[in-house]
Amino acid sequence: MRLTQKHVFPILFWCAIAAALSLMLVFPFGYDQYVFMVGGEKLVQQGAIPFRDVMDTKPMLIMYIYGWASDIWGHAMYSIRISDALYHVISLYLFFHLLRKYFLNERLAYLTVGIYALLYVSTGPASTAQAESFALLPTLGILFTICKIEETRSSRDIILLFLLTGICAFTLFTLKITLIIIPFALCTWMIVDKADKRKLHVLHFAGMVVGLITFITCLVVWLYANQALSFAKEYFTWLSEYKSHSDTLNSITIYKDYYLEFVNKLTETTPLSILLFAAFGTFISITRGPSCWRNKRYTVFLIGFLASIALLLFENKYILYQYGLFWWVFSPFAAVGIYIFVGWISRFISRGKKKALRAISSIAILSILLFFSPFLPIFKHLDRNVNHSKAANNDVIDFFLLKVNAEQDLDTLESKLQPLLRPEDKIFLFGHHVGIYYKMNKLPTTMMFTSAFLTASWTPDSWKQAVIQELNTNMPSYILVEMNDAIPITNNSTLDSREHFENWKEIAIFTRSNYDAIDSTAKFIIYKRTP
Amino acid sequence: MTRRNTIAVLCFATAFFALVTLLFLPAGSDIYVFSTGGKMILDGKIPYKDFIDSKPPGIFYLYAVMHAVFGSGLEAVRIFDLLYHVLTLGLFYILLRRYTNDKRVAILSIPIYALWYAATGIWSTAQSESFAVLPTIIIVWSVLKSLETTSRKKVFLYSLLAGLAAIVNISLKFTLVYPILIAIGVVCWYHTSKKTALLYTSVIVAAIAAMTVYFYWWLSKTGASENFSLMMEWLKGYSSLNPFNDLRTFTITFFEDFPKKLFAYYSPLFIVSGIIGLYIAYSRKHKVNVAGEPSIKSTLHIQLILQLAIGLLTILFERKNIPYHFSRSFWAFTPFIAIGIIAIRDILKRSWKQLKDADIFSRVAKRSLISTTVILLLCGTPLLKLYSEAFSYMLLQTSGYKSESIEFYDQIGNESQLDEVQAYLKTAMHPNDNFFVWGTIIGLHSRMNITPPTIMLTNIQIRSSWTSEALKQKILQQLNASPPRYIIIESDDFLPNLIGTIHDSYGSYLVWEDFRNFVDEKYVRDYEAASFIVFKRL
Repeated sequence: MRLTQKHVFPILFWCAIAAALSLMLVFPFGYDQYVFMVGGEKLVQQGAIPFRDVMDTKPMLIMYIYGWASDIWGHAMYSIRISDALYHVISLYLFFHLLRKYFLNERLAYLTVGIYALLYVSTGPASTAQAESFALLPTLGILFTICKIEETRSSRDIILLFLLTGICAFTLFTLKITLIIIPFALCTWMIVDKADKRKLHVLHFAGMVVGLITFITCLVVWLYANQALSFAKEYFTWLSEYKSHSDTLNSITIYKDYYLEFVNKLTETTPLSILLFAAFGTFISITRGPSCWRNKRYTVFLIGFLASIALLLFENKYILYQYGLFWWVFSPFAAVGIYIFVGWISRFISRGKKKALRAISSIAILSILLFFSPFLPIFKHLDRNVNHSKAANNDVIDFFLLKVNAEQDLDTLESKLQPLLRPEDKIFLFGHHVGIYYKMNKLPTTMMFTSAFLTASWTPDSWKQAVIQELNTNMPSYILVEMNDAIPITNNSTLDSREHFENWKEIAIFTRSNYDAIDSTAKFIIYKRTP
Repeated sequence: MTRRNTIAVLCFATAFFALVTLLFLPAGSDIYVFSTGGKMILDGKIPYKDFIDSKPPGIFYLYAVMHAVFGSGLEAVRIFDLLYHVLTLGLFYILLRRYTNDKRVAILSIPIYALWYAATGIWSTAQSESFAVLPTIIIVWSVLKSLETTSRKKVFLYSLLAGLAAIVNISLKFTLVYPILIAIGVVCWYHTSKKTALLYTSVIVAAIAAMTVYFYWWLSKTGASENFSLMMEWLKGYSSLNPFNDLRTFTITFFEDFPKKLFAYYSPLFIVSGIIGLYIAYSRKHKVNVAGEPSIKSTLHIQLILQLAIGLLTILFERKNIPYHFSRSFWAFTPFIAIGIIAIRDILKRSWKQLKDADIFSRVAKRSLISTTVILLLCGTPLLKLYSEAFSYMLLQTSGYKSESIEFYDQIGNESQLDEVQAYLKTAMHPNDNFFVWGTIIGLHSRMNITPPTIMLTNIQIRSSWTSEALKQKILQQLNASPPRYIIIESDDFLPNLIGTIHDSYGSYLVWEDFRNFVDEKYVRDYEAASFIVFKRL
């Protein structure tokens, strides 16, 4: 096949998207990524069972994704980044086709996908490869089914679409339980909006619910067969307490918690230009809808936006990576805004007198908008992670808050432990920075590998007993106790892990009678098993 | 009364009510500084000679007027602020009424500004930027009037008025010179007679030059030149903090901090509405939008856009991103916000009406969604902040109801600590005793009507990383010459982004050896409140 001019742009475009996403290969792990990787390796490599052998605040699909990545690409930080980049290239390719077919014209579809890719990479190491990041594809699946179902005639295809909706909803559910709000909101909106095809959309909704229930039933049966169901039940009880604890913690003032937190984090994750263009694009879409959107379908994105806000307010946490949920909504509106704005600017330059002045003022405006675009944060992350530059860090503030660099301390701990550990040795961490398991290439012996689960006031006693029992039957060679890691947002306690360790008599006695403190770092005490 | 008039009355009543809530706010740290300086002026003291601060003398003279008219208490500041803003908004309404084609824009802009201003709360009201709005509106008005006339005599008078307003602005804060530069630019660009434009510019330049000459003469006559030079040197260091050629300045100060403060301070709905309003106002001007939408006549829209954009750029130029800095340009945004809100309201109203013929299921569901959207939009205005701060303080003082947010502001504010220290000092001090506060909260001086013993009001100018030794020695000399009875040292007042060090006042006291020796030799630790340590002379 001859390469024509028509093919060159798409090829170059998708190469640019892949190149932008591949910048993530240099990203190190944040706290969550360590947890997912350690849990994932335990699930995939050891064949551990979720809830019974591995427990985390998130359901287990995200850990499986990390586990599979590690299995395919090896035990390295770049393994999940490769999978993430590939996943997003595929997702964005499908997003592009979906937009072009059902929502926008080709130019706007390209622009939308480009904006999404830049936004995603610009959030940096800790906010990428999260459960919310992997929610893109199933969300697109839902979008596809609600558009496709209206043009499907054969009952076989309709059943297949129901199945696809069920799979997507179940995937979202197993990535993060609250994500289920999105498919429910989108499908409900179609019932409300399409009065002439209401029966079809009601059926679609019912199909999604039936599919979801079927998959959840299969999961329950599988958990039951593997003696993990009782743990799963306790997990959900724990989770509901965790949720109500967040509500109590974040109820000081309405202004501070529901307004300022939301606004601060939104502006922290989404560059100013994109926010302004998205707002402008939304207005243009509503007032001039038919010229930009096919059949006023922008309403689906507005519902997606409302559902994401509802999700965020419900969770009441306001963690940076949660805002990734907005991007599939923001990017098409921002694309419309940019498209109209650029057309407007070019008309402004070409019209009337004093063209040079018009051009200079337009360039000044565009430069300011470009400055507040995702390019600067991408550059900052590269500078930090490739050049290891401290310039982009707010070190004065870090020092002022007396933050200890956890990553550096993990390296120190690694250098101290490495010469001591034999291949068959096991370690147990009583703390939050589970990166040490990853760095030492060891897997946790207990089902909870962050102490947050054990130190929350609502943790069931049975979990604590199970950990003590596991430690007694399968004694690790080293126990590491972390200091200065209080995490009240998770366990409602201002005490650090070492203080919790001292307060939990059983584990303190177990350690003192079987282990000796042999060394320490700024954040960790190392206990070695007595011969 | 017609429906429209009723709405206008409601809007003005809302604006007035919002401004009234200001009366119940406690004082912020800057208010204490300005109030102390203002009272010193009333006692015959001279700025730069008897006290120094990073702000020019205008704001201190304004506070002197407040205390002269309304008494020495801090309520004088709030009463003056209320009346000043009633006057400012009155003039702004007249300006908008005359130069917009839709009454609604003028009417709606007033409560928008008033609600926003009252919501900015304890630390951001009664600042130089707040009081600069009136002179800036006068400047804008003088431009519009000058463009309408060919009479040189009238242009002379308008330009003289603009020149005086510019002098007020500059004496409130040096960087507030930009409104007059915009005015000159607009007149030169748009006036049909270049000679008249030259006249306008010349009068303003002459007025500012005359004021500058007078100021320098006044400095040398009062013996304040030396301290003025020291302050100019300090300001040079202050403006070089976070240099432009530093990646951190770009990423943290500009990219991360600026949008965060902008959204939190201007509020998301106002920003979104303002952007929509800008689009509508501009499109209407060029006849590409739907007929009947509001527009702004004459060069007012150009002036407003320039005042807004350059005002925001000066915030970036200053590189401090202090919330009240954003006050300088919000007023210029309000007509666009009003246009945007009218457009959003029209969309929602249209959508609501269109559902009239829909089936009951769609109608109920979609109308619920529209209502939810309205609630969400209202949450994106400064109403929550107004409720949490000014309104809650009003409730506290009028009905005794203490909301949770008051507890929050008590925690982060210093009022209760100042009460504690003041109570102690009242019992411990003799009639002629005085004290020296080494910190940033100097409220005790203002509250107890005691003049600071040195030229220093707050220690920001003394403990910064670039403070000259001469300035430090000057303070020490004054302290040595007449040691105050008490020295009060503050802690936990970290300002790394303003003074370039990581020390709080207590830390900087420990680091500055001469001062520490002076305190150690002559004073003994006497009393402690949470953030204040009181030392008593031996």
